[in-house]
Amino acid sequence: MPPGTLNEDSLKLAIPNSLPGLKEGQDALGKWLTASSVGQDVENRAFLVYDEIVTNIIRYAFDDGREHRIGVDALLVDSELALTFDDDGRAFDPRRAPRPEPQTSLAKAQIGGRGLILVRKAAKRIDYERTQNGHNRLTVALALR
Amino acid sequence: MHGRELEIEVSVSGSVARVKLRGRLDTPGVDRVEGKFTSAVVPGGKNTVVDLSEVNFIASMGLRMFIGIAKALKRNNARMVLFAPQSQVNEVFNTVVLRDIVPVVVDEAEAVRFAVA
Repeated sequence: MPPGTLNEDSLKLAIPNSLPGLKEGQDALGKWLTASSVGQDVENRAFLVYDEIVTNIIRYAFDDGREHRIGVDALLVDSELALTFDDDGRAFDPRRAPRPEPQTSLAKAQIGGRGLILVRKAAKRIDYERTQNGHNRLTVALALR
Repeated sequence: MHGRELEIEVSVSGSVARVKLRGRLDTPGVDRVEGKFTSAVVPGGKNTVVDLSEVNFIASMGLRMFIGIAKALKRNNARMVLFAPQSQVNEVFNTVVLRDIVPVVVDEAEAVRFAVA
């Protein structure tokens, strides 16, 4: 069974903050996207945003070594697919993250730090709030084009 | 479904290692192959060409793997060249301007020429 509930227009998941958890959610998202017939381009952008955001949460949001749940909601409404991520890790607003300088040689290039560039490119809109109960709630909306 | 798990195949001919990847270069895919990829080419300082013609998806962990291995090869005086990216992969390369950091070419012959130049 997928780790959540699924219907035609929405998907609701709660996955553990681990690589198996990421994979579990990815499989459920894949089945829902296929059933939703959004097309390959939207599927690719949804998988990209999912991989970047969930990987960031797993790697950077927690330092207590305990299992946490990451909420992942997908909602098809009008002309967009909205992916919402909820976690109780340290506060992080990706809209305020510094944009890396262009890197023009292998010698000077940083190994990482490109995920948010890809999320910004894929997104039509990015919303963030730190909720009253201390959660990050991030929505990345993709245009259905 | 969204595709199979990432597979890696490495063959060495002379001073050039040819790495063929098949599947999705996302976080689980990189976790699956990065150790094998690195240990196959970095210790021997092999000039490395990477066939992307059967990679249908890449996320930033895939970019991180390529840049990390390219840097390690450079320290061993070797070079990595990527070739034949599919459309989503090419779009991601363009978004982060990867070509300024790691060469990306059309086919294997050009990749080998570039790698040993």
